[in-house]
Amino acid sequence: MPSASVPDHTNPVRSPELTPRRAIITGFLLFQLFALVITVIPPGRGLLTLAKIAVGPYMRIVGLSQSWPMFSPNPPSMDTYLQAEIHYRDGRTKQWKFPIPADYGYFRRYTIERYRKWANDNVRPPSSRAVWPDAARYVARVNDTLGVPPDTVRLLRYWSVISPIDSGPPKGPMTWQHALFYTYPVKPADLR
Amino acid sequence: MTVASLFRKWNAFFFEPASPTPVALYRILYGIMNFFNLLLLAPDWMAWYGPHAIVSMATVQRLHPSTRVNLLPFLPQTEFAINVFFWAFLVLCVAVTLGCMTRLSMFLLYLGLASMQSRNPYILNSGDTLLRVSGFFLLFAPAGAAFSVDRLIRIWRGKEGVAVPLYMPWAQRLIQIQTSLVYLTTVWWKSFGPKWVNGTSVYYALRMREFARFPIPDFLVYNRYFIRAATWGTLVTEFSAGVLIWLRDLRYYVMIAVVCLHAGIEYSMNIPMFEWITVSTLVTFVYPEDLARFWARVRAWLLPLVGDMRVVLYDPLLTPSARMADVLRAVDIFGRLQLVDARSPEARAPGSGRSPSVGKRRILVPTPGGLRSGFLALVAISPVVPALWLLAPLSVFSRGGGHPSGATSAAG
Repeated sequence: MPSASVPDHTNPVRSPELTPRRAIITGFLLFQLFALVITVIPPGRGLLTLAKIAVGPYMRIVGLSQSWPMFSPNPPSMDTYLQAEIHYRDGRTKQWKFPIPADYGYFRRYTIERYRKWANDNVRPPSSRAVWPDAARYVARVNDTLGVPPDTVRLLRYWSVISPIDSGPPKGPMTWQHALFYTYPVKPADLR
Repeated sequence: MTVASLFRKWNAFFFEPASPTPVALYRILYGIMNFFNLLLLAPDWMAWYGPHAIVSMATVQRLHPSTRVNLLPFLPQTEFAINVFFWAFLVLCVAVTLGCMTRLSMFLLYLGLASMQSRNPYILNSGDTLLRVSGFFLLFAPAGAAFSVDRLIRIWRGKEGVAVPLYMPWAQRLIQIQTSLVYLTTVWWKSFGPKWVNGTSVYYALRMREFARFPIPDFLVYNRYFIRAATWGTLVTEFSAGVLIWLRDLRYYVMIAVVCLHAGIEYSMNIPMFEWITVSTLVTFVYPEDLARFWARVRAWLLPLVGDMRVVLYDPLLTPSARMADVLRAVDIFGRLQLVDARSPEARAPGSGRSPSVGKRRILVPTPGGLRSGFLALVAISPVVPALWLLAPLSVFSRGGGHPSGATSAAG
């Protein structure tokens, strides 16, 4: 913690004296910069793809995997959320909405955002088929509250298209469309 | 340009010794960012990482089979073990912030962070990614070389003087390059999008209810000129943060623009910690001399609130006394301590300090008085030394330790 009023007793410069050390660091820097640039630039063809494949394992192992397509190439032009329909063994049905930050107060919405990220970005897309069973099991567990176990969980996508800027503020409430995309038969082991 | 000149420039950029204060300051912010990131997750630790987490460990391992840093599979899959992991993580955040065993703490923090992200990659935003990748480079940086408990210990042990040693800044340069690449490549990605080109992207971003944070008035959201300015302004700012930030003349203007951009996003969009994490990395771009100048200004502004000068006497011939004096110099960030050689004529003439306030209090470091008087001395100077502020309330009850000459005494 330097102080302007402090006398400058010493100014030891820890500069590398050993050339081999600097050579090793230079080699690391060259490789690291190459791997970094190859990793972050948007996907291409040919040599770029090969280079990405080559550096991929290193970047994953050390924890440097990254991509920065934030709101690109375009921000979505629709609002979305997920909803679950839980059918119980006694015939009752319950609707359960995946947590949406905007439904919460200003502080809690900051923490609940992770649920939005998970549901909207990583469960909703058709390419996320592999995590749908986990999502359905989670829904079954948090809704196992009626004394009768859930029998089936159905996951539904909801979306509302955002009108272009020229159309001005919406006159009425948002109109939502929905579609069923997954049905999961709940097993007793899922509820533990 | 010749190869030799290129080589010289490379060496100057990565290896010319520089003050580690910017990267040390970034270490403090990094610890704080991790701490709050984890704290915000705390209500849902078990939901995301527990034995019955939303996405099971088996699913993650099946979908991401490649080798990654992940300690969590090696822990017992019980709520207790997961809680211990996270509480330990929080302690590490504090250790990194304070600079206690910095290298080790940083390494363990990085392992913990990478493990969390590997265990559940489905809830991560760009801030989490930046925290992880910057953390990797911070592992190699002299992050504990300034503003750290480690440094005070080194001074106390006589291994380091009061002046902060200079280090090769190559790891700091990697953090800077990483930050620049984030902005540059995000512009590259956006350049493929018609909505970014035609200037309407920000309209869609603001209309998405799922991201809504604080309200934005309709006259702005539906104002084509405002939306275009915001959309294209975002692109220009991000491009500048990738390229123009490297020009010394423009660096601080670019940084101000980036801070404004992130402040706007922080207000309008609900993306936890992302803006704070991103803005904190900008500290690595501040030139050390400018950081010192900035602190000098802040200090001058704060001085009236801090209190009078305190005279501290020490014996340079006694090793513990001289080292304690050096430690006090290092923690005296407001410059409110005047360390005086106890054997000097100035010290033998009570009340003859250079300024009117000097000489009112004298603190001898150390005396044979032992630990108690040493503690009282620290209490006496604590109001003007932030590192000792925890002791400051006691100074109300202490009258300076009662040294025979009117000085407060301290022991080594």
